[in-house]
Amino acid sequence: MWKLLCGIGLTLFLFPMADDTPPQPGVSVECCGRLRHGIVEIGGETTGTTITFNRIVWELQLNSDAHREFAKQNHKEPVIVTGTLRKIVGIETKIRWIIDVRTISKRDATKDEESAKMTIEGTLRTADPRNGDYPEMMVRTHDQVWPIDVSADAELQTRANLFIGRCVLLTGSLERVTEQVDDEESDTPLVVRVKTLKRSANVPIQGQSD
Amino acid sequence: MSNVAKLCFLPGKLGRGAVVLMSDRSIQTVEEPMKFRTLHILMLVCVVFSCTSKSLLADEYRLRAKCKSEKRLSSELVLVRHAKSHFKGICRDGRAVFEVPAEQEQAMRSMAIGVDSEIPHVQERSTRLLISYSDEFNKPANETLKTAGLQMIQDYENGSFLIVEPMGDVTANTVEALMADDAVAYVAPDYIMSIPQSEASEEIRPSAADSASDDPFLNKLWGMKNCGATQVWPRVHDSANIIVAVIDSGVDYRHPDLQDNMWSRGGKHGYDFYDNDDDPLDEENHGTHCAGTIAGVGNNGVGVVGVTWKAQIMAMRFLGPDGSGSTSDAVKCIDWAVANGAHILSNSWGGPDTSPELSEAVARAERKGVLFVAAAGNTGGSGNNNDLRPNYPSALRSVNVISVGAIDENDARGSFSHYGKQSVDIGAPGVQILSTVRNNKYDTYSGTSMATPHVAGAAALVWSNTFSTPTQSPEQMAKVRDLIYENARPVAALRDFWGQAAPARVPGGVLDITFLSKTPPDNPPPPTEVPRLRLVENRMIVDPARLR
Repeated sequence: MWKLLCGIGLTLFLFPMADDTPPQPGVSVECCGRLRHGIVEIGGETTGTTITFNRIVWELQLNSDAHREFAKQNHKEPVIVTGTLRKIVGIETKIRWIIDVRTISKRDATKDEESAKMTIEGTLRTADPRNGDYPEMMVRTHDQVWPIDVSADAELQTRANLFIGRCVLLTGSLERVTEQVDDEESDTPLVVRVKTLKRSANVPIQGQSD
Repeated sequence: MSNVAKLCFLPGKLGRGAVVLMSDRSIQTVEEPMKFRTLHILMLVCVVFSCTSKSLLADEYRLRAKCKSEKRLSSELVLVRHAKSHFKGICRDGRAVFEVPAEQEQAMRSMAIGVDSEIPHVQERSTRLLISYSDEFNKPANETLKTAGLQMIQDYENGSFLIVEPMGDVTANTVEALMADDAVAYVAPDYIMSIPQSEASEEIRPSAADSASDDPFLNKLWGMKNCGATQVWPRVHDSANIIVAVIDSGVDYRHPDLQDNMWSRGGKHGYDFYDNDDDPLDEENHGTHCAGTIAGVGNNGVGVVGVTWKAQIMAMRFLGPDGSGSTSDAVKCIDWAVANGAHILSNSWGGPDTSPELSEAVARAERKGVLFVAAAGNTGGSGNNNDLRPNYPSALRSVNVISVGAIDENDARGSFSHYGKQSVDIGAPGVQILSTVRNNKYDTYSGTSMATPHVAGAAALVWSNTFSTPTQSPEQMAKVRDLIYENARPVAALRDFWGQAAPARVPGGVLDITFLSKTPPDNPPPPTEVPRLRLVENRMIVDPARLR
């Protein structure tokens, strides 16, 4: 028995597990918002922890005891979270947005405003104006479609037009299309205001937008 | 051990490593390159197996040793439950001597409440035994029966049990032989019971006995038929004196299919802990949907009908328009409902975290004698095993908690429904359930949230039909809960999903209240001599005095 254990230990030491899977197109976020812990949901469809910013609520999947302890201690406190964002279809909660948390820390609410910075790797597509889509471009990942706005910068616009149908890597901030008038308008569409945009080596993702 | 694969490492031959799978039994040799991650997982499995296999053997040895130590009781042994079931022990004279973990003792004691009142129903014990098996492909061996001195009368596959007749006395050898066979789930005496002829004739009556209320959507409510409500309604359909609190997103108390069944005090129908006011009007639909399944007004010519046609729905709101809420507000709802007389709390919500405050609130409800029905939870894809990753409050161990999984029209588990042999108790209809939603409308939802109100509504019917003066009382609550468990309809395909932990006692059981169509209320007329009919009684009774 001891020989077996020693052999396994030695093997584990000599051949450490390596994440050799290629990076998948996806969405990384850095999110400044307010943490809520001990959340329950209809049908139990929740990770139990959320971050709320600009009337957007995303669930947080905490992957370590340290993170869970942090969440317990900082319920209702301002925090900064980094991680990858995914979208899943629920049963009673139709769409769930979940951040698989990489880091979580306290935030100085007087300095850092509520926001979400996003890094998206996906395929650039044009929206269909006949469907009333605004803005006119979107980036599609394997599970998400984000409308993007490149209107602030002429060079970005030119580059985006060149990259239509190609895989791109962009950074930007998540904002609402129009300013909120009151709380009742919380469904105002979201858009990613692009700051940087470049080609990505990944293969474009096929298929229709969600 | 001859057919156990051996692992050999051949570094350098196939990349950085290779695995050769060899069987002692066959001469075949297979070589295939493997990724390191797979290799490591394989090795970890080996470690886990080598660590656990010994403890498994030890457990089996301990149990068998225990059985031998009980040999001196052999002449009294009439009933045995196999060591691999959740309760470990052997029974005699209809009473069980259990070896139970400390944390289950309270649950077991609660099971014993009301036992005495059940015993008089048993008129006579047959010499026959029922041997239940857990797997239709692995039935007790003929050799086992022969060694045990038993002769098989019938293999009743629908119920997954054998009916056997002892060829001589039932002795310790019988018990030993049965316990030694892994295919034996448990054994029980085949009771012969007396039932009034009138009820017997009711039972054989075809589904013509099903009551059709005049609610126009009745034919779409498959759950009502599945749980037996339609069979019960001709005899009992109201539970007007039972208060069921729907702890959820509130209730649209103005809905024409609900308004006559709303609990009311001072013109208010509950409380809103989300907005902290006394108007629990639903802004989400979820609570309204649950309320319609519990007690949609029956026979009013409108829309749907609940499991009970008449009950008092107390609306408790703590989930907001987005369907989420905080545990602390849930606790306030529980306490408020209990303090204001609720008998049953219907909880179609949950999350992965619990808190001492939540478990304390549920325990307070338990001490008051309030039933706490909770959704096991949903996860898209293939559900979740709550035994491994609990969902609260359904995973709380208070004895008043009934954790409910969802089934579809074919008695299959809803693909999303959480499960857990130990942590989920019963299944109920929860796929494509039509019920009330806000603004006089109806909609079809799926989820364990929909299964939960079926059980809550059924509990209301059981409670009012079992006790003429229903009160918040631990004894009444335990009796209602046990009647729901004991009469659950076992579904073989669900056996591995739920119902194996105390106090639930029917593996793979789904809600079935058809017994209400036969059970007299708690002041039965004096028994009269009637012809005897054979029924199957497969129930274990706990003697609390013998609990360790």
